[in-house]
Amino acid sequence: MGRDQFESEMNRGFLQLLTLHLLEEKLYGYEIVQRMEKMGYCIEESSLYPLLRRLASKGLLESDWQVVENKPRKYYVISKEGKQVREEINAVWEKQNQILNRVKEGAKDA
Amino acid sequence: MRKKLEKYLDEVRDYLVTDEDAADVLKEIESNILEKCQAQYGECSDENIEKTLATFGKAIDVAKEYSSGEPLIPVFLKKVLWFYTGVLFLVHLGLNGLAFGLHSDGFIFPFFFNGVSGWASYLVSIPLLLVFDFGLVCLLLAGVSQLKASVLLPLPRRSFLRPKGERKYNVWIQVLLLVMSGFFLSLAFDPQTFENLVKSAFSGTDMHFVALSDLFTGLYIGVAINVIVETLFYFVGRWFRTGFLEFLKAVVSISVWQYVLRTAVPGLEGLELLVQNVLKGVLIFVVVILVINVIVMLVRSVVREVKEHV
Repeated sequence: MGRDQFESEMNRGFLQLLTLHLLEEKLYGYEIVQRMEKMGYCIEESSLYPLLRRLASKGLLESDWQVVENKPRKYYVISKEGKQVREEINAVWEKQNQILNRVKEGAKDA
Repeated sequence: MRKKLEKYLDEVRDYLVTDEDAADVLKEIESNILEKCQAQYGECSDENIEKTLATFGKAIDVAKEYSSGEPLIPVFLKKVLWFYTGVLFLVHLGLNGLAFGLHSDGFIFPFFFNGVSGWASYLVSIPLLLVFDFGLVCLLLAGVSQLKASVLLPLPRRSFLRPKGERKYNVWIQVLLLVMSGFFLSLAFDPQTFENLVKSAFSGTDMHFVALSDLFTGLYIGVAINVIVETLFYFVGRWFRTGFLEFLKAVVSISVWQYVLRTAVPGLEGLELLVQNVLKGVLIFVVVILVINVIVMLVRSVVREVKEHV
């Protein structure tokens, strides 16, 4: 497996969690991309936009069309169910981090 | 106005497969592209949209990301696809060969082959058979997949295929067999016979009327064709178990001999009829056994699935 493929697989889960955190506030697609870029996380738009739809279809996000400056924009925000799932994923993430740190420390000791 | 964008969205629409509202998906893609263009260039002219589209990804890739649903044939059925196509192709090819050799266009399964009028058309039919069989198996597997049937399709590869460790092959034996077939063909060489063979291939004339000048010519040609058959089966034997191949080889050899003797020695109509009937009988028997085996395997798979779910 090449580095790019490995990174893209890791990004898939991370992007979902990051999106659920970012959408505490109501944002539209390109705005999310810009926020992520400001945080130093560059993402391919072709991956993010379909992800937003998938999360919305699972009920983790709410969406609505609004017309701003004569342009239609689709806004997304996290739903109640999304917040619950986010907490569960956070717990998994933290547990995985702890395991990884323990393994790394063990490797140093060895 | 925005012709490039419209063309791009049309392309996405062509490849998009989704249970969601496709118009809403396209509206969202359009909105995202325009937002990006506005943010980067300030104005959404055709030129700026073209630049934005270049960084947005190919229409087919965007459609792929937005598409959902199961593939037509799942990856885990790939081996089943090749195996079933291979077996069906061999059976199909064999039946076509027999129909051609025995001059019987309605041989057992009239729907199972194209009408074969000369050996050239038989050769041409080989790729057609392969494409047809591949398509037929694809259609069946796609049907099984779309119905979400959780039946395990039987894959008795061990009965037919040689394990990798047993795949012994000697290229010199192959060369020797080819030289032998060439030798016997040269003994039987007769310009008139070969001219008639070529004519029959392209005119669709029944090969029955190709005159083999005498019994010895017939015998030489019979031996030569059988050595060629042996050569082919030796090559194919690298992958397949011999029991299965020996049976196929025997059927082909009997067909060749009955044809050559019938053509070289007049007055053997009785023998020809006998051989034809015996071959038909054997084939019907084998096909019935094969069909019963397949049905038993399918029923066993279904019973196993049901037991696991109960």
